[in-house]
Amino acid sequence: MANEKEILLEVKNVCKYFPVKRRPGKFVKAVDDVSFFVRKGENLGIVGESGCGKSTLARTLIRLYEPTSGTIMLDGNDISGLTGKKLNAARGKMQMVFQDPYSSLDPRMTVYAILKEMLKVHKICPDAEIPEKIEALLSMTGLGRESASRYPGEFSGGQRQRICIARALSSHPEFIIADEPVSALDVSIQAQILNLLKKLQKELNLTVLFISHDLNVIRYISDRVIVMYLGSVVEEGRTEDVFLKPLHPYAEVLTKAVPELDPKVRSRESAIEGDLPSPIDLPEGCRFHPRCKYCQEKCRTERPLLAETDGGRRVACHYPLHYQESEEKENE
Amino acid sequence: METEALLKVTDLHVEFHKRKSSVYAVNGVSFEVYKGETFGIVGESGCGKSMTCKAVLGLLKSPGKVTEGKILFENKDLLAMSPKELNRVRGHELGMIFQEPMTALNPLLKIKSQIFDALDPAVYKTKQQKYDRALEMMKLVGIPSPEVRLEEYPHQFSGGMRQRVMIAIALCSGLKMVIADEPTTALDVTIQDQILKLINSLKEQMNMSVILITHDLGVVAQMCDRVAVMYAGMIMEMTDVVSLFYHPLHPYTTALMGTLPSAQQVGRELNAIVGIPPSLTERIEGCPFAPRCAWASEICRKQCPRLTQKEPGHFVRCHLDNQESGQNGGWDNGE
Repeated sequence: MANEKEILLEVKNVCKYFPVKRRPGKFVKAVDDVSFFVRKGENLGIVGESGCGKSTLARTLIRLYEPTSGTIMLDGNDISGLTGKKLNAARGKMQMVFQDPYSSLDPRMTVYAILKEMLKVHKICPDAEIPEKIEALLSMTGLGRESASRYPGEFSGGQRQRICIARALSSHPEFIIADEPVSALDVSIQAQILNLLKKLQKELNLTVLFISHDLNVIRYISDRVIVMYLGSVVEEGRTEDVFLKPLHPYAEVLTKAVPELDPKVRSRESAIEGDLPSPIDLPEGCRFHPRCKYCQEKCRTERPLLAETDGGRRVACHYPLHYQESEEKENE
Repeated sequence: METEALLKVTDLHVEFHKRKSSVYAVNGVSFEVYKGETFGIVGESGCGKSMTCKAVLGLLKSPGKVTEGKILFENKDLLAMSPKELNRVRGHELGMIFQEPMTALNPLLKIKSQIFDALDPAVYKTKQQKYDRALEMMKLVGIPSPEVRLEEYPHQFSGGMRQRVMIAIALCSGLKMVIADEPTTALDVTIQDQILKLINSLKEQMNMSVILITHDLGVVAQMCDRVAVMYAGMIMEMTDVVSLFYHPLHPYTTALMGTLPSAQQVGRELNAIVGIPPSLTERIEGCPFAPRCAWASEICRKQCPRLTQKEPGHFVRCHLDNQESGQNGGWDNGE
């Protein structure tokens, strides 16, 4: 089961701590001992609230941040310590699409120049073939040929995100990290970009790590999902399993808190009380225990580890939720 | 049956004229909000939903101007009021909750004094009275250890707690109506859930009306009694919330619902709406949605349809006889 497909990215015990300036010796544990893998061709979603470390994780994977510890294996090679040319080569295989298409494009470069820079840096094709290659990239992402000579400022948010996708694809990557790529867009445009990403993933056989705070988007686009809370993974499994039968109380809360798109199904109780604790002074024991309604004595003192359960799912909880047999049969 | 309208907006136009360019932000919006109801205004960015509400509150920034229309609040014309009279209504009868609790609070003042400022000096005369009321409001909006929190500054609060403070400030004078402009957009889902439930329970306790502006149809489904869908500065469809979700009549509404990723959509392509919303720098001829509409015909491009009542209480701005659009683009809600 586990070796259905080859593993492309394997992350082992990755940590990223940021020192707190005013409090020497204190750290913000943005990513704390995270391990997971991504299979070739799959779409892995990472979901969590702001401050859970999902963006820091993405930036660490692509080495925009240096990991504090841990290894990142891309296609069997450890890239966590690479520098210079070797790092550059690794980044050619692994590209990122950022959240904000307004700040992630240089306003003073034309679309042509933006794409050409990528092709040159990663030595994708001889100079003579560049115009042809750029045209292909533009048409692949649904932009007209005439866009090449225009500047990012002349495009709408959705089109800019298409430019970012074209740029990411220009180095022929196998692996794309998409960090909230549709969060800044209106719903009607969001659907266009989601469709495009899905189509490209299929056509180019891409592997995608899709980060989002929007559970509906993750549920739509991802095959497997990782739920993060305060820097660590609390649950991992196939998307439908996690959404229909969450094992971790936090995953349950998260799925319940999404407003139901049906005015006839309304709840009056809020799904969860309390706020996120400060990431500097993390709670003892299970990090979720102060907000957890199933919290017991053990949760306050002992931190649960991410452990495998049936069906290839992993959960970090002393008392994972379970479901009646009959209910399971019904859903099968 | 019909209860009295608390707010009545008729044919509202908001325009921005600069030397070289103009923006026609709101183009003939009419709606009524009744006592005790939650009225939703939903639409994408730039559809004029915020501008409509800013116009109601008299908060339009120059060069934005109401060029036409009437805004009646309890039969008083808000547009004809002097600034002093308007200030009297604003904050005491009609309040606002903003999207960004970070920028809407004064970072240099303690929470205590920001609540004090919002209290009606005619009612709360002494410091003790003010303090008691502030404490009461902090408890009402569910802020833990309110005595301590009153002495703190906005930066010491989390996003969700700041929004609670905003709500406390908005509601401390016993409003008749509050306008909430994307009150939970900047918040995480679990916190959004808390704030929405809080707004609902306060609405009932204080018997207020709420105008909820949002781009999130999920929030609309959970919160509103009636809804107006806006596009390019116009109301395209206005009806009760159940009809809107189960029986939408306007092609834009059905298209909008088709774009939403959901469990039912897994494995299918999303029905994205082609193109982008029109720029509002010129007056639009014809139906503003026509260029993106799958059912658009000749007349749609030439003449803008009027908002007409197609079913009791269900208003639609569309030339089509809505049988076709409602079914096809329609949203299968498991009925």
